[in-house]
Amino acid sequence: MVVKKICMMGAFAVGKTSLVRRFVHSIFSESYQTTIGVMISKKKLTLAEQEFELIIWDLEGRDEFTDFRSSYLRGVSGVIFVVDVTRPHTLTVVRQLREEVRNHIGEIPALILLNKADLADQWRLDAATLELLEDEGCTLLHTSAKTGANVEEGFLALLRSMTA
Amino acid sequence: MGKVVMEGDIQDRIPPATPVVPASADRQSAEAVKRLRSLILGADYESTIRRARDADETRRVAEVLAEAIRLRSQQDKGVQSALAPAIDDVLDTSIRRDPVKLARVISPIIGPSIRAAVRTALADMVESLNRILERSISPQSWWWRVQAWRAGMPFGQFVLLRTLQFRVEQVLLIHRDSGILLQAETAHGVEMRDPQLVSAMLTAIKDFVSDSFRSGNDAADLNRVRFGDRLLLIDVGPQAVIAAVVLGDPPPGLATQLSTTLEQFHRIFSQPLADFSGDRAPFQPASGLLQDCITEQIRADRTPAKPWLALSAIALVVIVAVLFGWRQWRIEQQRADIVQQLRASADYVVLGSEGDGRHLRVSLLSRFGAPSPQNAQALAQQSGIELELDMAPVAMNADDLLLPYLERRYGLGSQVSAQLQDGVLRIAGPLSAQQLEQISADSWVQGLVRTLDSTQVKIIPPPDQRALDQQHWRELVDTIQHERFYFGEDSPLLDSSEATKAVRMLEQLRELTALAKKLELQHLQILIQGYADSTGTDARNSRLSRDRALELRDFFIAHGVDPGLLTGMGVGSLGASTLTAQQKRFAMLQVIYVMPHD
Repeated sequence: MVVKKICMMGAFAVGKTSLVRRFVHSIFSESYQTTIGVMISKKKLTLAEQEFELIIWDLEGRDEFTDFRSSYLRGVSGVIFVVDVTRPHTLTVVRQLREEVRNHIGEIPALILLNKADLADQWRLDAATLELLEDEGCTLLHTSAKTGANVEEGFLALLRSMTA
Repeated sequence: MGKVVMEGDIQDRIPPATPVVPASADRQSAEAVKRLRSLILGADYESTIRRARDADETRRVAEVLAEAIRLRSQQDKGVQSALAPAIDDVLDTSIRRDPVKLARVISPIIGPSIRAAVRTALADMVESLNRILERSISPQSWWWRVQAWRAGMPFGQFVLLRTLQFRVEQVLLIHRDSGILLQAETAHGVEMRDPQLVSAMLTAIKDFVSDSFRSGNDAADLNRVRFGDRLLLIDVGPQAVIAAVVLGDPPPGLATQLSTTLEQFHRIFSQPLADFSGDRAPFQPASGLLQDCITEQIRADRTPAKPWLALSAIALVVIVAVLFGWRQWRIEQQRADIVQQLRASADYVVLGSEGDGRHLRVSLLSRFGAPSPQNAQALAQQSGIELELDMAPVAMNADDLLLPYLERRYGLGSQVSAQLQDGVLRIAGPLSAQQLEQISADSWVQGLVRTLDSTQVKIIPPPDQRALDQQHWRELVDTIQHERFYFGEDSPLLDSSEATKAVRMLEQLRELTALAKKLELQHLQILIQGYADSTGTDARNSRLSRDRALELRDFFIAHGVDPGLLTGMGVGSLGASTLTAQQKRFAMLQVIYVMPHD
């Protein structure tokens, strides 16, 4: 079995932890996220007859009051950025985070999840910014932690790009 | 033309298999060349060339094979991957075909290991037993039980805390950057929460602490965390981290041992660490390194001594076992003595005995009128054994047998009594003079009886001869009428065994006719009835049954029986009956007569 470390990153309250809770088998107490800024969980996946174990580091939500702990990114194989489609600011945060990740560890497989897709009537993201991200080679995926739509597919998509 | 035989380098002497045809040459020319070559060199030319090329190719591959494997192995694991399934199959087939061969090969390797493991296990068992006993029955252990109860913790855990200097419960080897667990080992009986998550969390905490308390460029790492009775020792290497969970207070040497282990790990697994991309398989051999770190030390509160308590317990068990065995043997002996006592008595014959603990059941034959086996019963009572006697009274000597013999032999009847005492036979009751005379003349009576006392005998007249003859007649008729002569399927003929019965019947018929004359019977007639089974038609069965009766009748006539006495008739099939088909194919005699009144 191959073990991979991935990080979940995004602004505060975009639904990272809800997505993880939808996806994983076992999880450590969520109180750690408020103490040391990370909650760790794991999930086993099978891709092309190969078993993988994803160690998911769910980093605390980024806002103007919290620092980015770059040490948590060490040894990471892929990153999932999460955006709340009802809050345009969360997309800006993801763009900043993406840049910081690049600066710290270089180019690694990444995926942007446009979460809360079930709230289509409250969609507030700028289409031009999304197009720009796609043009930059970012993979975007609409997800909903509430309905579970595309959650597993999102993690599988990242695993595929990590093992490609 | 015969086969073309070639030696040496064929390529040098034989033109190539595919002729070089000039581009300008037409198809006809090429065909002509091909036919010409076939005519000159024969039909085997093409196949011979192919074989020669195959052999040449094989030689060429053989020359470069070893070097090719070595080169490819340096590049990647392609050769191993390709050969692994084939080698697996070969090994599997070889082991299935001759498992003994494999056992012979590996026995020198695993034999010493097994012996060492058994020795260690036995020593551990004695040590463990000693520790359990010490903790279970000593006054100190009872005090500890009270303390454990007051502390609200299990006794075992309290004992561990009091007696253990330290114990390494878990050792983790973690990839430094990713926090991925590379290998882990736990002490026996210790449950480990998901080690992969623990590793990641530990890495996060370590990073958090390092980031939070870093001063300047000082890249200090977390290396010791105390939580309750446990201590987490961490040592950070260039690419991996070793962490050990220790219960109690470890000696300084333990941290050094962890560092040494980490250094060894880096030295041995430098390449897999450099290439690490999440595959933990290459680090499995590190298990042995970590196992060496799983140690414990019992608090040395006294000098090591022989495990007297364990040895005493073992000795006690042996003594109890010996005493129990001796007691069982003693009971067996007592049971055997009782049986022997019964065997020694002339009044009893022991048929068998069975015992279970203090219960003994003896089956025996006892002489008529023999006294109860008091000696054996007294011995049983004395030994505390419950004796059950299963006795069957029988005659054991001539005296016992004489009285039943006289009664049976001379038909003494219920009114006659006979007693034998001190050589005097006393007979009383109604007897005929002839019976008394016969008894006196009996050789057995003469041999056993000194005096025959017949003073109480009442002589009765002998029975009437005619009545005796009539009784004999009735018995004879009854015997004759009960005889059956069986026949084969669809056969009216007597076979040899049935003919023997018919010969015996001749005697009885002669006696019958003589007795009939003596008794002056009238209308004596012997009716022979033939029967058939249910197969066949009624007409056929009727004819067959009649033929069987006539066959028997003819046999008797042929052997001198008066034909006027014999009549044969066929009854046909018996029809519905519980008899088998074979039992239905028979003939029988019926005696018809009129007995004159006296």
